[in-house]
Amino acid sequence: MKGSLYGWYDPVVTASEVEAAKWAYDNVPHQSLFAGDMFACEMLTAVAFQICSIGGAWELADNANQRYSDNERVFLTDSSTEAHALLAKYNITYVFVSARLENNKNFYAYGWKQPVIEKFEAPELFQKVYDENGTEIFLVK
Amino acid sequence: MENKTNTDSLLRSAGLVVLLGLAFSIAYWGLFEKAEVFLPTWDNSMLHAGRAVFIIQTGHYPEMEVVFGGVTRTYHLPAYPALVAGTSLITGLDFAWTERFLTLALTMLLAFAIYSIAKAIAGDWRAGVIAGILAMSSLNLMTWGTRNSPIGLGNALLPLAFYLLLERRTLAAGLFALVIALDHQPTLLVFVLAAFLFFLWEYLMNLPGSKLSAKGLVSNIMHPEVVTTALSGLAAFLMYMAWHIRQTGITCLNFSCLPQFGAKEFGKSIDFMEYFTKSPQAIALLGIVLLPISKAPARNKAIAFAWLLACILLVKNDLLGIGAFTERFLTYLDCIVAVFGGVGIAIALSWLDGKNKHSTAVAK
Repeated sequence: MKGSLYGWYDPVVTASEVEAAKWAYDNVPHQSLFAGDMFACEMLTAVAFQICSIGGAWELADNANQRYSDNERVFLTDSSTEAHALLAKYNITYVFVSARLENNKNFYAYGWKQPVIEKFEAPELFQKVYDENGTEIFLVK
Repeated sequence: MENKTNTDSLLRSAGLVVLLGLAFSIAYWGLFEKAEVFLPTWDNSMLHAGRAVFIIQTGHYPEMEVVFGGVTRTYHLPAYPALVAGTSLITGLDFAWTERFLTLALTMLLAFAIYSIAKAIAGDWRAGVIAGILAMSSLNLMTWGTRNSPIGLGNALLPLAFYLLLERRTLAAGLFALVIALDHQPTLLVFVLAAFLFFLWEYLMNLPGSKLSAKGLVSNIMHPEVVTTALSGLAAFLMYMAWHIRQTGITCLNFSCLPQFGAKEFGKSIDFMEYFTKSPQAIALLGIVLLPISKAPARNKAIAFAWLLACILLVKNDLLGIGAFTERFLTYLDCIVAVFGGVGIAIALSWLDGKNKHSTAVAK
């Protein structure tokens, strides 16, 4: 019954991320601006009632390519200050990140890539507000 | 004779039950088993859920996109999120369970819709059952057409809308057209283009004395032979234009301001030789050959071919110099192709068992 359709029903996001989004629904002001990967972003709009940096339906976005490019840079760069500056450019207040160690899949703009999470461990720029089962949420200072 | 009628009735009911059971199981094992605590997120299904949640939380439709920073005025249509929000508020289910329930319901409705239109076209319930089973086996239709997104609703409504046009149910057809117009642009394109082609056929066949002039057109669209299709097509078009003007004002009547035109999504050219030699599409060729020479009423043939032609034009829009969203329309082509498959097999079966089942449609 699963057949060739099965892969297309893959939710991508993990149970840990959904739990984190539920936490965000309860603890973060609604309609705050998050940054994340495409699948986490879309999930956050529904589960956490937030707004996010990117999504699908790129053809309906304002300046989609620049937004995708900057979003990917935020997560892939080694530099805390570069990531912070890019987040500030879009007035983003929270970063949502998951290593997704089981499947190694994150989609920030152009293809599946792994984020550099360590750079967010910079207390002068980011404050960790959630850390459970591989999913972290940082407040952008 | 009575026994034969009872057997036929029993088989018809059994066929419909099998079809609906198949649709339910595909949706259940495709979605529930995999989704567990969350919904699938491919094809932006969570994005549409996000809009539904916005309505549930605020009572208003989100005027801005909920992604890409929330700074772009939305061009997504409101019917599907409104359906999710309304169902959630009425049933008390949270948005995720509402989406799961609606996916099951819409997949079953899709199967029933294809059953209804194929049965109506061929005048034979076997066409409906076979078309439904073929549709449930169609890759594009089931991959993209049964999601937690506007296309899931649009795909289920489209065959029913054509059924209502065929049956000349003007009010119901008009209402379906309005919902399609407020649901999903590609679905709307298929509906309006197919309805327009069908209208042209009805107009030329039924009003031969009336030349297709602007003056005659206005008065003749109210003629009983064409009024259902004419009003439904117009209702869909005008409703969509009202939405478009609401979102973009009057400075974008040629649609050139839309991001879709600025950031054009190119589609690859679809090879129909490859498409129609795969299963289950190849079976449709039987219907494409047999329907024109069958005894089915000309209107039935016309709506089937209008729907097919509309889908082919949209899939092959690269030949018209557009070349955008081509693959996306395969979802709709799969649907009418399944209908032709069911109709073709039913006609062949009727001939084989020595009775012309579709003559019932003639009598009707």
